[in-house]
Amino acid sequence: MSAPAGSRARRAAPARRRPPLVLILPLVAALLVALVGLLPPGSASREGPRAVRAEGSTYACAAAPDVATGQVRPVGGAAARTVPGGAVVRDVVDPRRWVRSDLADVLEGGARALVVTRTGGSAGGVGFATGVLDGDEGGGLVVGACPGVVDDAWYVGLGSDARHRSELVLTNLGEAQAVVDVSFWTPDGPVETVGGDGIVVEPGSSRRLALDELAAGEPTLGVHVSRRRGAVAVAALDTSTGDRDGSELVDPTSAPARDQVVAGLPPGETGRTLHVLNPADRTATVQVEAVGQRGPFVPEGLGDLRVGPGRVATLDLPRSVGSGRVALRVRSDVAVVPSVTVAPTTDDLAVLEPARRWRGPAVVPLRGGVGVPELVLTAPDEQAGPRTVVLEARGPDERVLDRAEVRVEAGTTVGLDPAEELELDDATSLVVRSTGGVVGSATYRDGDGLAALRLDAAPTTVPAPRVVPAP
Amino acid sequence: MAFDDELDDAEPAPPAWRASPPTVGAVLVTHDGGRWLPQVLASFAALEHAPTLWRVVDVSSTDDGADLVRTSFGAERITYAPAGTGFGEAVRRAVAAMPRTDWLWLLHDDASVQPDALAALLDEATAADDVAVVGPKIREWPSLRRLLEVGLSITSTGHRETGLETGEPDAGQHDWPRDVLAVNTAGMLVRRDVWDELGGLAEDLPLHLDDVDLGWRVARAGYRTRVAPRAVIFHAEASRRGTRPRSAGDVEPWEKRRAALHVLLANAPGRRVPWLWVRLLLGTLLRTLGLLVARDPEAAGDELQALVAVHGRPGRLRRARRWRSATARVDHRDLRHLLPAWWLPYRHGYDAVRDAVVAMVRPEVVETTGRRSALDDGDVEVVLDDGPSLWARRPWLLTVLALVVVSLVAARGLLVGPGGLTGGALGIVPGAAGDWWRVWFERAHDVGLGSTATVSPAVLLLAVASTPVWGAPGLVVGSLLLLAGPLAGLSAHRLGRRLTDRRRPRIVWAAGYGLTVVATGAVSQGRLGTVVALVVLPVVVGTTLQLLDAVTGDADASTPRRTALRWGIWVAVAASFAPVVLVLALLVLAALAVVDRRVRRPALVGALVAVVLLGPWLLARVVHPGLWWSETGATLQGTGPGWRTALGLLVGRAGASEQAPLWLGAGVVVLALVALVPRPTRTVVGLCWLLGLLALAVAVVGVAVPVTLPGSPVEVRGWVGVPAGAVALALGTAALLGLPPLLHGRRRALVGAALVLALVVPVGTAAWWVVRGAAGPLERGTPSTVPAFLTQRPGDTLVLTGSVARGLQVDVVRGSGPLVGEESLRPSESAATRLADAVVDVLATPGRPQVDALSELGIGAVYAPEVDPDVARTLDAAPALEPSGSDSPTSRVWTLREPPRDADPEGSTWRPVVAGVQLLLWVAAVVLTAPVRRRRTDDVSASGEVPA
Repeated sequence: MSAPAGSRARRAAPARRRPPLVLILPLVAALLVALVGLLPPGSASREGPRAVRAEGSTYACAAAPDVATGQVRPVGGAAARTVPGGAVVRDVVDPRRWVRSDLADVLEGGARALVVTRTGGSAGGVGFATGVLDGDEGGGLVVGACPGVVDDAWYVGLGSDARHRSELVLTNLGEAQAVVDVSFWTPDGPVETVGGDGIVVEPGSSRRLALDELAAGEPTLGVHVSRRRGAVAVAALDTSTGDRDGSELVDPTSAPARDQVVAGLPPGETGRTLHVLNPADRTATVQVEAVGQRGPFVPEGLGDLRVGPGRVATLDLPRSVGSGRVALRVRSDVAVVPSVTVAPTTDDLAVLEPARRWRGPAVVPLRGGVGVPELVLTAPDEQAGPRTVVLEARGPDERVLDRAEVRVEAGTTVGLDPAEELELDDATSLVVRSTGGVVGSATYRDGDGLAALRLDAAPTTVPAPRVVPAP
Repeated sequence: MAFDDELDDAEPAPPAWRASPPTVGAVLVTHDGGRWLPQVLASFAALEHAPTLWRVVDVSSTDDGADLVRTSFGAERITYAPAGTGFGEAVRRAVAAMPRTDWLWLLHDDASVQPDALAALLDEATAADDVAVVGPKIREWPSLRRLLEVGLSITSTGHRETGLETGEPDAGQHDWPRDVLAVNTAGMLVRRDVWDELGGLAEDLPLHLDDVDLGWRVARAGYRTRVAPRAVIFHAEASRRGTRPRSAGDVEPWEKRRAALHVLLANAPGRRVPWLWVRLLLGTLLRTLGLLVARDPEAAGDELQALVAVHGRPGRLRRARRWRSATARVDHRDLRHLLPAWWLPYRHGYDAVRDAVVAMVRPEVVETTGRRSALDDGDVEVVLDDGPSLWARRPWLLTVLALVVVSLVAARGLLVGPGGLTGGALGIVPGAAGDWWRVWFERAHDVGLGSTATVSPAVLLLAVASTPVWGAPGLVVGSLLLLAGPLAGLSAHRLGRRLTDRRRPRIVWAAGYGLTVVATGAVSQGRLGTVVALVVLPVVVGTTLQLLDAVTGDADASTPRRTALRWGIWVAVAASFAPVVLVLALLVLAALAVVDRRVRRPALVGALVAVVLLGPWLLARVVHPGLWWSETGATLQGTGPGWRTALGLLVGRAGASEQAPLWLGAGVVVLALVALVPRPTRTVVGLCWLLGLLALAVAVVGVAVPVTLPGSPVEVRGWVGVPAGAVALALGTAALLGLPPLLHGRRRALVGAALVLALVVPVGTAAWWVVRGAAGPLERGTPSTVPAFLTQRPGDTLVLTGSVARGLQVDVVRGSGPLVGEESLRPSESAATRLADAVVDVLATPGRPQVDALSELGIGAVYAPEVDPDVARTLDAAPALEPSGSDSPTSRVWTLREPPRDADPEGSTWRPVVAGVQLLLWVAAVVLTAPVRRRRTDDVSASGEVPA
């Protein structure tokens, strides 16, 4: 039986039905949706702080017999006043000259600090409190940078017992009441203090706060000063009396960190004590690496230190650190605050704090009772290549008298006698310029007197957050 | 009981006048009344108590009216008056030509009388000696059942006040005699001696309101005007309704309004005349404006001519008042009870608005041909039954009510309480509409660092919308935000009527769209721009369809232009609040113009209108494309790419954290896909998909491409709530148009599944909305952009946000913050840069000169609620910045010790002029969109028989 011809013909040529074009529309929609779905979500712009020209600086000098003021660029204006009292003091600061003054004379009449205000773009005004203190203050040589407004100041290695006393000098630099909180740690753990929180510094005043007022009887203390409100400068004077004398204006550390370099350990195998404060709530495992003149090494016994939570650890540096100039690189799994107390003799001591890799000019005072310091420079980053540091000898009028370049090989420490590098006959200050990657310290010796000054950039530029108008 | 029975059974005593009937002279004035006269004359013939004598005055009739009355009354009883003779003058001629009678009965040629009319009037007229005028109850002719007047008065705006509801049927509810201010001259019985004493109808009122004026004078003379409801006449109101053919000499149309103004000013108490004069002047100007807006230029012209005729001729007014005071014996205060309450005109306005709203949600199945005919059911006995349920009769009304209830429940906590709506993107709602008007016209804007930028036309629209509620503009903003669901549903439903006749799918679709608007999270985020744009969006779509109809249909040549004009206006309205609407609309228009050449010209007109109405504000968008995403409201940027955002775009979500779950909208996408299947509707469904894709593409661009805004380098993501809403509208429409044919006759399971999917959007979203609520971040209270105490201090507040690591953003807030509509105003780029530099200086080297630089920018305080502690401590260290606010370390408010300087920029002097011109352009565009109303010249055929 065969099918009719017509139906066969229809079967032989079936109509090919194409899918309707409109079906493309959902596909396009799916593609658009997929495009949005697959695009990276995008990240919020992250623009960190940048260096901007410093339009001025204010700092407070106290706790030393002398004061030296100067600047990197002789521009702008300068003024000084005593605190408390607010008496304007002339001749202690000159926007175009390096000025050394007797601070004790300036502060006669009950004043406790000299507040210097420096204006002018990128002037880089700095001040240093220097001199040899009285015997009841340890009788040691001190050289310390006059601090400006401090947000956080961390110290370790201070004390509050009869033989090792430290005090904080809190100076209000602003026009409003300032409030700070002070916290303490000992080798046994945090100290619950009464009165440590909300310490008020009235405008136009300076307050000396002996640590034994808050946490008495502790030979070794870790201290954190936190500015809660207002503008306050903090200086720490560390004094030892008794078996071992000495005094030091201790530069603060801005924050605990997990990788820091304590720069400028002078030569000598003994009298070097490492302090590590662990403010965290878990044990820190600390590794100390020495960066010597021939490169970095891990001294025996410093490879794996454990510091309990909220405790201060103290350790005499072993001989394995060597007797040469050295910097200690302190690495930890939690943020800690290290410092090294150097006391080669029983007559004076110096305290070395973690140093910052500075950029730009760092000012070092010369002469005027403190002599010419030895510079100890370290390029701690092995991979970063050699660094070049420029030394400038400057006269009283801030003119550059001589200039020299110093090369610091990566991962090494060098010690420099500026007098060998430069002509320093009329120099009153030294400017050490770095392009980064170098930390350093200036070590002053005056007889048995010993003092260390961390090299920090003068405030020609300051970091400022990026500020943009809101959309 | 016996006494009551006795009373009930007793025959009422016949009125005393029947024993000795007073003489009554009837005066009939005719003028081209041939249409009504046969029945009118027949009703006269049927009078039980006829007048003593008759006199007819024919005012130059050109129809067969003159012959009719000559046949009925005989030539000797007819007085002929020239064309243009007013009613009062005609009556005077008749009175002069007829013997003296006790009473005069005035009759119109378009008013037929009931047989007992005169007797009933005389009953009331002779009831007391001080009754001088008596009028009948007047019912409408031809409906015969509707009440027209049971006594008259006049409102303070010059309108005849009958005290009746519009279209109120006569059920005897007003059938008691009482004193009234006046009665209509149709059927008026007036005592002859009083007529003579008062001089009859005023000569200065030839046609309109002469009855009210006479009544007013009668009352002032110490007589009473009574209404006798037992006397009934049927009145066609031929002159008032314009159904009488006009002829040479007739009074001009504006005479009606002139008469109203004249009567009020001529009879009002002297001490009130100055106030009334001013009020009527302003009121008339407003009415003129309103009539122009309503495209009724002839009526607007009448208003102006009437105004000139009255206010421009004070001498005539003085004479009129003097003439009336000559017979006045009663103090105005004694007549107060005869005049309506002062608020009555506003009540009428409310009624009009209510009627408009009812008309918007009326069941579309009820076809009406006008109010009067709707109840014109003659004497047919109406059998009432329960009928279908309210849901069956008015499902859309109930749906709207449900949406309103859902919205109000969701708005709990936002409806009442101290302060106004605030939070999220919403700016400060001003205290009065005048603030928005000020913003619109001011040269420089009082925001942040000050701005000379052009303000959005949204401010103008908000000012206009809030002017009727002058002191409470929050009502407008609150209604727009909190009732966004019902409003969007209403606009969608109007569009739906154009799209489909299927009522229930349309209701589900409209309600779904309304709730999709709230599901975007725009309401909770206070995004007024998005809300308004999405409410208007269906209107724009509807107007686009009208435009297509206009160019493809048989409409007259002016229709496409007018529709294009309307399209431009609606697009401009939406784009004022959300500029991206203009982009969407122009893309759609361009696509249509490519497909159909005929669309090009009206498309060009529409686009031009939108661009012109948006004005200079649009220029900034051209220069800074990022501003296309900047809506009315603070800049709350949208979300970036990602699957949540991507999938949300298909269902009307833009990625807001306050949005409804995505799955609630998934059903629509499925249904829209299925809607592509049926072949008959595939083209139109495909078109919906195309439009949806267009909107989706715009949304994708907004999500994928970050933009910057003027004065700020910060990249932000555009908020794509509007295009996402457009996608939802398009896909929903595809489902609406494609599914019903597909499901017709299918198995119940299939239909049920589709129904469930379709209902998930409205029902699920409504449930989500009720549970979540509208609040957060939108709230009711005091704006908290900056601490309240700072708003009272001089100077602006610098607001810092961010961190040192990521960078800081600065903004300047003046007072409590920018008003709604002002949020997008930006300072000049130079001012913004100076501000950023000054803040950098303060944070870098916080010294007095740096703080002074802030003061020079007009800043009086710094507020840094969300910055990292380092920034706060740096500010703390700045001299001349004093910590303020609470003692809490997190207070983070500093005030400048020195008072800030005034740093406002000077705006251009031509700015107010431009604003005024732009306002006029809006008015002109709106006026031009309405069809021009022409005075009706054709006759309206009258029907209905006067009962014998």
